[in-house]
Amino acid sequence: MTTKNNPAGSSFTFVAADERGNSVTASSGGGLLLTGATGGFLYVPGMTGAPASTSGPTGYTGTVAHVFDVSNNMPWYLNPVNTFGGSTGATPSWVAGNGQVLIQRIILAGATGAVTFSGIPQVFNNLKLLCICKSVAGADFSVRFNGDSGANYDSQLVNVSGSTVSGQIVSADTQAYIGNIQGTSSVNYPGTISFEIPAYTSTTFFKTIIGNGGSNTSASGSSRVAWCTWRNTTNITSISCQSPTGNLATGSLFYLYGIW
Amino acid sequence: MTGAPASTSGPTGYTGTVAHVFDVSNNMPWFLNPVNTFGGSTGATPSWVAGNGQVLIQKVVLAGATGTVTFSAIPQVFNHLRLVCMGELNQASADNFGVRIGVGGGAILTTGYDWQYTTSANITASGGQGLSSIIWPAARISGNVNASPGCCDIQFPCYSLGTFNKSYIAYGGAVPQVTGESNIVSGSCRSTTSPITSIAITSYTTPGTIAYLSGSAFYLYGVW
Repeated sequence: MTTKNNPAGSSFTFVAADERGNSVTASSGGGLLLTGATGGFLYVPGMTGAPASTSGPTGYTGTVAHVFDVSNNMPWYLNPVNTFGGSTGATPSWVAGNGQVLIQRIILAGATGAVTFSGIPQVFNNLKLLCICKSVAGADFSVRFNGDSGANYDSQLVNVSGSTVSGQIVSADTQAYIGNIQGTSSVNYPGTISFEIPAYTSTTFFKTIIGNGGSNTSASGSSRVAWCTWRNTTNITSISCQSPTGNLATGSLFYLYGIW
Repeated sequence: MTGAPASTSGPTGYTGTVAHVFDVSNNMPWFLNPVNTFGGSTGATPSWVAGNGQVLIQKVVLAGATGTVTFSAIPQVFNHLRLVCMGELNQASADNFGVRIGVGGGAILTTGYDWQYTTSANITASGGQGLSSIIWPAARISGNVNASPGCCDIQFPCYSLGTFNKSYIAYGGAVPQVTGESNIVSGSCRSTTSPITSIAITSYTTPGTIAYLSGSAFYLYGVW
């Protein structure tokens, strides 16, 4: 075992390896680090983007290389004996250490016409958005991609209002409709919307959305399940969320996730 | 490590640290939490906790038209499975994403699929069911018109347990511009209570005979 005391004189001990085969990078000797700690951390290599080569890290049989992609907030591990199939199963292969990465969270500090996520990383397989929001007027919740406000969106909907179920199709519209949200007059009753965009970086087909959401008050409610198409094969780089009839209300929350 | 760590008694002696190992069999980073405060079965102290809540098991992007996409030898370490599909068929008319399962490393099952769905076709909403069918429907998928694919999200809860008939929930649909159809569906397979080891995605109406077009994409996830 190799031990080296912290030069600053604290209780931290740095260990390279011990007789049991443990590799220890830091041990405070007195318990867990406090959340306000400024030292005692494990440092791993950073990389600007996903690792592209599997030929470099060799020579340490039985180990797994580890790096953190600072561009996409993703830990990566180089699995030398990956047994998963298909395109994820090359051996060796870098595998994602986090299946769902929070790309951005937006909390509205003031009423806003549209919330836009731009510069979306292109490294993930799918995208997911979770929105807890209200609008000034209360109405539909809709999205647009890449700033396109043309009549290029189709939506197939299952609508439930109270106990009544109906279908609806909206073709060649200027936005894709996903859910319903309440107006600010319905204090403390938000709408909750969740939707996914599979293969958002692919350029083979038009882009699709699967989503659902709804809202209620103490007296009534409505919900919607939606499947939408954006008539464009371009990869998605920005997403705008809005309510067609009024601003999104202060305090509304929007979470964009990258799904690996 | 080949598999999830089983012992919590080994890594001791370094107070204030968290042991970390990578499971090469399941592409899962694990951390040994010495003071885990989560409840129930996940809350033993110390306990190994998963470093990734949703692991991509396999991604299939078709390079050519393919009748059936099969995920086999599915790892049994996760709690649930999730399958995201996006694509088109190489025929003009629409159909459904069709789903079948295999258990115990055996062949894909072709009987015993029960399901109940809610659907909307343009402005009409309705329900329906299938009993002891040869396949599960997941959601509408477009024919090769207008480059408008169908997509769906399918979950197989508790796929590795042997208690109940195996079940699924799915939703999805397709909107090839002026007409559309969508589905919310759930069901079970009366043929088996065994753990799911393979999943086949094929066309629903005549399984295996209608191909998915090149570029169609299928993502299988293990959910912790």
